[in-house]
Order: sequence, then structure tokens, then C-alpha cells
Amino acid sequence: MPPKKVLFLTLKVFGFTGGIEKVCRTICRTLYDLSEEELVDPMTYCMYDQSYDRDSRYLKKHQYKGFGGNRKFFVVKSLLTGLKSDVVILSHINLLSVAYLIKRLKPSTKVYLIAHGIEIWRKLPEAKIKALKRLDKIIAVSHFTAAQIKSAHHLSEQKIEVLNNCLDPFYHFPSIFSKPESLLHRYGLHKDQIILMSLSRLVATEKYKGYDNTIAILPRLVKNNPNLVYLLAGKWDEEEHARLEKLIEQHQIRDHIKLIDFVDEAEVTDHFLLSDVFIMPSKKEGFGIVFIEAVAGGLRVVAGNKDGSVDALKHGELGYLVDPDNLDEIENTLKKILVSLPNQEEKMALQQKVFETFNYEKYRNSIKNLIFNGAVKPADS
Amino acid sequence: MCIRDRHKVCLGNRRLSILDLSEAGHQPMLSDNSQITIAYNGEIYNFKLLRSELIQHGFKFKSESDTEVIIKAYEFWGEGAFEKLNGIFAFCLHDKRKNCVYLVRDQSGVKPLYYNANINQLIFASEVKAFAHSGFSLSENENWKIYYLAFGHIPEPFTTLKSVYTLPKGSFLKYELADGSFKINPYFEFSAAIEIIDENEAIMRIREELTKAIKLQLISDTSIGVLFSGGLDSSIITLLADNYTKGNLTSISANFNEIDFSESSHRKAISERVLANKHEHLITYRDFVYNFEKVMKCMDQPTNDGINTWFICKCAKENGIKSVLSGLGADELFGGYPSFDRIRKIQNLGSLSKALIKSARLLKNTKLKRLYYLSFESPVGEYLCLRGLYTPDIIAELLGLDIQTVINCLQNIPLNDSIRYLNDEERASWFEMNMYMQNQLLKDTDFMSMSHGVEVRVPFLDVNFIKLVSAIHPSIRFGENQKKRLLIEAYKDELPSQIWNRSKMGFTFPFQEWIRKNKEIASPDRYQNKKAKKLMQTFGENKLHWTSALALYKIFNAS
Repeated sequence: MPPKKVLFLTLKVFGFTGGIEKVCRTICRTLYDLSEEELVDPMTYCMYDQSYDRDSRYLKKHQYKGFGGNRKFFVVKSLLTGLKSDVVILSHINLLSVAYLIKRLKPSTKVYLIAHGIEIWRKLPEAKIKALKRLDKIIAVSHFTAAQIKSAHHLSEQKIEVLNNCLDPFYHFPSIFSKPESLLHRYGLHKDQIILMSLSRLVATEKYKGYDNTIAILPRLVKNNPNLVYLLAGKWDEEEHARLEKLIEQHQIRDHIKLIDFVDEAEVTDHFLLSDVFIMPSKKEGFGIVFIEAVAGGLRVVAGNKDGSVDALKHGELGYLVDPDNLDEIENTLKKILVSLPNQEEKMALQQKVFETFNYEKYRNSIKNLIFNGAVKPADS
Repeated sequence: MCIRDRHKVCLGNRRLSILDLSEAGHQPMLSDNSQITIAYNGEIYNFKLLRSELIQHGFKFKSESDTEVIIKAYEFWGEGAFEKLNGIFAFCLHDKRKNCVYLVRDQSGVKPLYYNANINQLIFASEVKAFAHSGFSLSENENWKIYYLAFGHIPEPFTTLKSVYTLPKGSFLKYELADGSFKINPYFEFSAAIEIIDENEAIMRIREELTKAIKLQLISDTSIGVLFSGGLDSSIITLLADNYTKGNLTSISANFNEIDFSESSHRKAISERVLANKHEHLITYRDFVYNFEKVMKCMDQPTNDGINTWFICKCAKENGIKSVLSGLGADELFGGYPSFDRIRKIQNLGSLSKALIKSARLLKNTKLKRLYYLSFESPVGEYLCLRGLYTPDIIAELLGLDIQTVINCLQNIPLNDSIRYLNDEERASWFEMNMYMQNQLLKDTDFMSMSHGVEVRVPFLDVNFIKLVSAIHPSIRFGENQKKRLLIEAYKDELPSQIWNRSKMGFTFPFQEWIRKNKEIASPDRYQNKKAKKLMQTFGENKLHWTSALALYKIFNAS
């Protein structure tokens, strides 16, 4: 049987480091792996990245083209290649129009959309909903996203399937869970300090990550734990940076918080090792890959219980789910965690558990099933 | 450390023990009558042969080391001993009877030797960094940044220190302690005479000499390895060395997650044919980030290369290997680089008017921009056109200098006269051997490997092998349509076709990707210099090679 021609359409893959981009990279690697088995002949088009942005861990040069923001060219090429493809996977709802055309002109091409979170929950124009209904399947990254789509756009149950995200195939799994000296030194910390951490983009327009609430309870936490420090990691924009600085002043927690800006991919695991608790009681996560990465780093994780984080923490099996608006609940949960932090063996067990649930191999098999059987779950399950 | 008060001579040594690990091999070593003292770095491959010869002449040996052989060879043959040594070496001999000090460097220039000499003092070391610890204050060479931005390294004889020079290969410096006078004398030069015009003879002799070189270089009292990339040169070395080690060889290879750089499938074809223990090490972006600072500290002289050697030698060390064989030198000898194709075109352009050539600096394409260098009077210009980093106008802008200062500085680099008489591929080979390999590859390989206590041995640069290859007629030695054709022909029967039938890869690391991804190095915000900032922006757009970016990092950003 000749390899299936698969076209993967994306907005950004390598030029940006958000959750959606991480999923895209993993799908690129999945397609590459399947191409090595000669099962698929993949091509990834990316609207906003340049071809040179490609990270060669994920796919081969000839399997990727970046259009550098040339939307018209992207659409034309996607349409032409899409018509020659057996399967088209969309990484984002904003790519729906081109997929709709492909589906209209060549109905035999299977078209699937990966639905992440907020981008698909909000109110959509009628034309988009109509196009959504023509897709062969929508793959939601969490049960929460699936439920939101169903209720917001009244799509049939059969059209939607859940496929949780996975750990990046190149995620660095630590085997020794000690605090890295180099990072302690860099941030002027010592190993006996209790360190809370969050990692997300710090942008003025995204207000759902929940770090404001963590900051708000910090003065109360510090009373019982004077050594406690909160590392607020992630690339900030100027507006949000200024706002956070003000907030820090307002709560008088200058000595207990560090804004550490962008963390290089190579150092993410070590930042988890440096910390004791990962806390991000957010409200609008589609899934939250960062939670499973933090668990893989041996961390106790606190996340919100009102979004896709519930899937990432396996309904509380992998971490603590709290009402993100209830400051007392967040504080009490943290206090509970801090009295008995996990030891080396417990951290290892946690890592093993998150690996078993969200490993790349499982994810790859699901994508393979989708391409060959039209469903991420095997037919008999 | 050995201090001899009357003559005010002090020799120091930090030994990497490979032959005779006992105390008898320790250095500095004194002759039986204490008249001669030696501090020595390297390996004499033919020391057993010389030892037997010296025993026949009545000498008695206390140790099994090659160091003692050098002393006794010098006692017997005097300065004539230097040429008899086959190996990689740099040493200092203090002769009390003659009241002089010798600095001696091997014929192929594999081991580095730096010196500062004047009427009052002679200071020497195998690394430039060591001079800072000598107690003498030596000022910085104000031209080093020009050299580095033009070449990607500091060309011999210069260093980053003003009055510290490299001793030329195949030569010795004799320093008279009585009056502080000194002279540099060549004791060996490769001949340019062509003796082999028959291809079959060439192939037969290549096989013979390379086998001899490898057998000779396998001597060691510790375990030995081979740096095996999966390319043609290291595959030949691995196959041949494996024949004589009977499973006692360890092959060290690097692997990457980056698909474009993974060579493991190519290595498999050779791995299946050899008994050697195979060690493949995955080197990741994370390893790069975590070790980058350390690597920079090990860099004795600014250079654009050697980071790969640092990593691969780290792997060797982790496997308990102290000596490794490498395929270094084959590209230079047999024409493995693009410069061998470009040299003819460059020679043809030489007839164009200088004004026209100079206008090349206005071009955008980096390779074409380098054509500007052909307007130089010195052959240095040709080399820089083939392998240079930045053109003089950019260097001048980066360093805030007048362009003529940059041009004069580069044109004044002394070159050996032999280049005048060479053309085409022979000329390219000369540039690659005497400039690129000598100034960059060998230097980098030495300090990066030695930083792990690993010695890299280079069979292709065995003195007899170079003599032989240099004597082969260029029409046989260099292939027109296939790179390293003669070497391939010589080993075609043993080598699987996928090893020679593909484009060059070697120990290539994904540095372009890694460095672009790393904000510490690549973020334009970290550069105050306006031009450097702009160039780093173009690097972000992938329009600048990582070596050029690294040079900017070393000059403008490195702490």
C-alpha cells in the first residue's frame, strides 16, 4: 500500500513556544516517525514561521515549509497540496476556511481539526460552525474542550473525540531530584528554601493563568514559611511586567517573588527541580502541557478545577485541583502540600505515573489510528 | 617542576601518562648525568625502534618511556635527533653542557608550542593561557580581533599576546643562556617533488603507509579509541585499527536528536564489520547549553571550531579512553573540501581589475562578498576568499577601525614562500594544510581534547604518509568529479558504498540550530555594538553562519 499523503496545516510551530506550538511539534515528529515506517508521506505547512525556523528534531527539511506570514501563498499552496492529500490535519480553527474548500472540492479527503481551548470555545460566526460540521472529526485536547465545543456549537457527539496532549518526545526526564546548584546560585537562593513556581507567558491580554491569585495569597503563606519564594517564570510583555511590579509593591512581597523571564527549553526541567510546588490555578486551559511537564519533573502541582487542567492532572491523581477563584482553598491546599513534600522515591513514582499516562508513543499511536482508521482510539476500545 | 638555579632555568610539566605510567616516566626528566633536562608533551611513535638502536650503541635505559628516548637520542645524535622522531611532540631540552635551551616542535605541527623570547628571557608553553600564570606581564596583541574576525582563528605565528608566537612546525628554537640570543632553525621540510605518476602504485603505497602509520600509532599502555563519525576518513581509520587491536579498540561516536545530523545509520555498515566496542553518545541541545561556558573556558585561543572535539573527547574520557585516533588530515591531503573546486575559479578571477574585485564587498551574499579578498597582494587574500568570515569593511565597522588598517594587518601576515609555486588543487591543499588545518583544526583539537586529558592521534598526518601523498601527481591525487577519489579507490573493496557514495558530513554538530535557539548567544539585545547587533539580527534570520555569530559572541558578549 502506498504511504498515505498527510498534510498538516499550522499557524506557528517553531517560532513560538506556547502549548499549541508544542502540540504541533509533537504531531510533526509523529508524522516523521510514520514516514520512516513508510506509512505516511507527510507535509507540514506553517503560515507564520519561516522555513529556516524548523527544529530538525521534529521533521525533515523536505517535510516542512514556512510561509513567513504570506497568507495568500499559504492558502493557495495548502489548497493545491490538500487536494492531493488523503488526510488533512488542521492545528487551529483559524485554518478552517482552506480545509472547507478542500473538503468541498474533494470530499474523499479526510479533514481533522485539533481543538485546543479558548480559540474554539468562544462564539463563532455561523459560516465557521457550518464548516466545523463538515469536518470528519474534531480532536479535542481535553474533555473540557470537548464539552465546551458541544455546548457552544451544538456539534454531534460522534464528530468529537478526545486526545490528550502528551509530553514532548525530547522532554528531559530527571532521574535525580535535587536542586541544581547553578540555578540556586543564579537566583540567589539556598536549597532549604521552599520554592513555588509557575511558567506561562505573562501577557496583559491573557488574564486567566491565575498567578494574580498566587501573588495575593503569598503574604499569608510567607507568615508561616518566611523562607518561601515564588518564581514567576515566562516571557513577559512590558505592560504586564509593569502591572506585576506594581502588584508586588502593593502586596509587599519583593523578597518573596522573582520574575525570571523566559526560560530556555534546555533549562525547563532544572527549573522544576529547583522548585517544590508548581502552582498555576488557571481558568481557561485547554489542557496545560506545562502541568504534566512539572509532574514529570517530580513536582507537586496545583491547578484549577474548571478547565482542561482536570485532564492534565488526571482528575486529581497527578496533582491538586482547586477552585481557581477561591483563595482560601488555594492557600489551604498549599499548606497541606508544604507539610509533607515528596521524597526521591515519591517523585520518581509520580514521574512514572505521568509518563505512563501521557507518553509520546501512546500519542503517536493515536495519531496513527486517526490517519488510518478515522478515530484516535482503536476500533475495539 | 624543575628549577636549576645557576642557569635560572625552570621547567614545569603536567603529565598525561600514556606510555610507562610508573614514576620512572615522570617529568621534567633528567639525563643519567643530570646534564640534560626535558619537559615534553606528546608521543613518539617510533620510540621502541630508536630505543633499540640506542641500546645497540651502548645506552642503558631506566624507564620504558619515550621521554627517556628523546634525551638519549639527543645525547647521541645532537640536533640531528629531532628529525628521527616520528610522532606528535613539543618539548624543551635544557643542555647544561652547552648552556642552551631547545624548543622543538613536530614535523606536522600537531602539538602546539608557544614562546616569548628576548635577550632577558625565554618563556614557553603548550597553551597561550599558561603565559598569564608565568609571572611575566605580556600585553595583548591589538590585532587579534582583526585576525579572528577575518579568519575565525588566530593564524600562526600570532597569538592573542603581543610578543608570544607559535614555533613553526618541523623547527627548533635554540636559546643561548649566556647571552640571550636565539635562532629558529627548520630541521624538516616536506618536499614538493613529484615521484609517483602511476595510480596503482599510488594506491598500493597509500595502503602500505597508512597501515604502517596506524600500527605505529596504536602503541599505548592505556586503552585506545577511535573517533568514528561514519564519514569516509574515520571509517578507514576504524577498519584498519580494528584489524590490529583484536577487539581491544573502542569506537566513539556522537548522535543527535536532530534528524539532519544523525549519522547512526551510516555508521551501522562499518560497525557490523568491526570487533571494536561501540559507544554512541547522544549529545543534545541541553548538553550544549549546560556545557557551553565550560567549553569557552577550555578554548585556549579564540576559534570557531573545536566545540565538537570538546564533546566527543568528553565522551571518550567517560569511557576511560586516554588516546584516540582521528581521521583529521585526509580532507586536506586528498581534496575533501569545497575549496578544491573553487580554487580554479578564484585563480581565473585574479586577472580581473582590482577595482572590479573590490566592488564585491557591496554584494549581499557572504560567499560572493568574500571575493573582495582577491584584491589583496598576498595569497592570504585567496585563503580568506575561500574560508574567511568577515570582509575588511565589516571588520573595520565592528572594531571602529579604518578599513586600510584592517587590510594592512591582514596583508602583512607572513606566509611560507612555497605557496608561490603551487597552482590548482595543490594550491588549495597547501592552504588547507598550512592555514586552515594548522591554525584552526590542529590547535583546537589539541586544547579541546587535552582539556579532558585525551590525546588525539592523527594517522593521516604521519610524517611518512604526508611525504608519500605529497609525492603523488596531482592529476591522480585529486578527483575531478569525486572528492577524495584516490583515497576511495584505495579502500573501495573494504568500504561499503554508502560510506563513500554520499556528501561530506563528518563530525558536524547542529550548531546553527542550537546557537540560534540560545538567547544568551544569539539575542541581538545582548550586543551593544551596533554592527554586531545588526549582524546578530541577520543570524536570527538564518542569513549568517554560526561561526560568524560565535566570533561576535567571543568579542562582544562573552563574559
